[in-house]
Amino acid sequence: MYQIDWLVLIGSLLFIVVYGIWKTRNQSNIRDFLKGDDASWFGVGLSVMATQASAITFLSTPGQAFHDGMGFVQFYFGLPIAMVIICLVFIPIYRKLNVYTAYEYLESRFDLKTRTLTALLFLIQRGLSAGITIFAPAIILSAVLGWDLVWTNILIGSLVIIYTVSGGTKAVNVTQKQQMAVMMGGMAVAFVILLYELPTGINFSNALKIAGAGGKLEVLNFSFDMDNRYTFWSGIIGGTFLALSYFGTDQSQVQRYLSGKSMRESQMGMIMNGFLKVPMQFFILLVGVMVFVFYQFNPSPLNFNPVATESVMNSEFAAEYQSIENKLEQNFESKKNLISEYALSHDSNKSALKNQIISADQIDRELRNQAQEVIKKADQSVETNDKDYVFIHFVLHHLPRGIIGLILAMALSAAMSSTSSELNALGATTTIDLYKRNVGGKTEKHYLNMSKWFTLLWGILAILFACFANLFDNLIQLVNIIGSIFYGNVLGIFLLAFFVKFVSSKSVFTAAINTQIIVIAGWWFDWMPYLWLNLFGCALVMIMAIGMEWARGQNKKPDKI
Amino acid sequence: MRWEKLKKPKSEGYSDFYIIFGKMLDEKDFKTKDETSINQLSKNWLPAYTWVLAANAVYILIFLLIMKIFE
Repeated sequence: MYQIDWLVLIGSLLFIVVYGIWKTRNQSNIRDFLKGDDASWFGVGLSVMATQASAITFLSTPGQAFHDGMGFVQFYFGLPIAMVIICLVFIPIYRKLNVYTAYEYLESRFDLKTRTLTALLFLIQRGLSAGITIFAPAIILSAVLGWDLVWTNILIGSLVIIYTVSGGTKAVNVTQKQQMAVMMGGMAVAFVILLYELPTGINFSNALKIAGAGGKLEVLNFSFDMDNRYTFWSGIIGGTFLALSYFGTDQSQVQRYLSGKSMRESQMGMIMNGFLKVPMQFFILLVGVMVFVFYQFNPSPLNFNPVATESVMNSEFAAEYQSIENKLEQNFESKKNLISEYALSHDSNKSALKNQIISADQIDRELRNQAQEVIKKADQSVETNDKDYVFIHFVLHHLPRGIIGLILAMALSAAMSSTSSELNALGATTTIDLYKRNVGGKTEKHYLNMSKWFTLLWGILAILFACFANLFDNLIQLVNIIGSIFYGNVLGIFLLAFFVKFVSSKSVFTAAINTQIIVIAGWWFDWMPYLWLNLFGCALVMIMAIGMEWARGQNKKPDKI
Repeated sequence: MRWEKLKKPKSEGYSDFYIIFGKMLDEKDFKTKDETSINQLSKNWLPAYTWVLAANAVYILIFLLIMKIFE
């Protein structure tokens, strides 16, 4: 990190925070603070996209492409379908009822206890996720830059708290525009530099040929293999369900599109997301593929996680690790020559060359797997999966001065944009669904102040959780599991509310409580992979509520004579 | 309300995107007697939202093409 990098990093972050506070000063009522409702469709679209794109999207996704290719983009194929359903069903209802939160609607459709239950499920799940949104980039940046983990957590969290508490929803929307510009600008600059850094004679088309030979351009997989997490079918079916529950029932997203100045602006913002999300993810993965091509001509570390490498090099397994490193270097030299020849050749020899490259890739993979085993032997607790570190390693070692600062600003902006939406939504749900609903009769000013206090409280809790997060093993998976346990049930309740008119609140509430217990039992006794708990919970609550309602209807029927 | 505003010229601040997709999302598509009915979805989604689904179908075709060319 040079002075110019620090200048770019601190300058961009401070500008965003100060601009957010200045632009949204004079907030005088709770409607302005929690709802905003003056955003254009473009603002809504950017805000929705910036909320979903966390730092992990920009740091980990290129690493995912580096190791496993571009198949991850299929995960987003269901999103446009979900956008259409949300525009046609969810938004008109939320706007017509003029709600602040998604859970408010459930009281008008069912009753207070169903609203309170879903609001609490959201607060538990999203409260934990907010901590992870801060922790995940902080652990990567502290590992590669040597920053103190606790102070990095506090820095990210505090910057977000300052403008989210000060300006509420409007501040979140305003800052997300700048943050999206920094994020996409950073990725675009990295992409251009990657192309520029390729050896003479290797253009973009050649680079794609090399990536194709390495199996990195297998974007689509039409197999029905349930063990494969990313296929066309899991993307279309599972992705639609996931996107529907995330965008339709998670307040951190609902609050973004309810801030549109009309129903039309909200809908167009979501449609913009439907148009741009798949190409955006494709582009981020393409950057990862270009990093892969770059490392076909430049030496790469055996494991990109510096903490893992340091750990093994300070252990009795250092010699074993170094011997694998030497083999990797030899393989790299022979593969480099093959790849150069392959990229520039036009003759029939190509398929033979391609087979040789595939064999060299296989050796590369095996050596990296062996290295992971050695690291595990040296230190059981260290993370051996290095996909989170691939892109940041490239940035720190191969990008020019100033651009490093821009990319770090990109990662921190992404962390801040997601966290601010989460804190804003947590504050809104606590104020509207729990506090205001139960403590009525106070002034607007009082509720405004309380929503600021609740936002601050959630911010502090998120930082605390982020600071203690490294005490737990595989914490990100833990939070995903918690999400999968609750999401399906909540989506099922909303689908019943929208589409099954005859179901009453009594059946829904009983079904929701029973479903939650069964889903937790299902997770505890390991009935299925945890991602399927989403679908299981959704289907179970719907079937159970409809069944109960039907049984109740049967009981009410007079006996036939 | 029909979207009269869209008839205003570009100089009044409406971009091409707004005009094209704003028209597709005309408010009449959402006016139903019963908003909780699934009929709303089946009746109205085709005219208004085909474009976003078509665009994504085109993306998938492009991905197929990329796979074929660089496999």
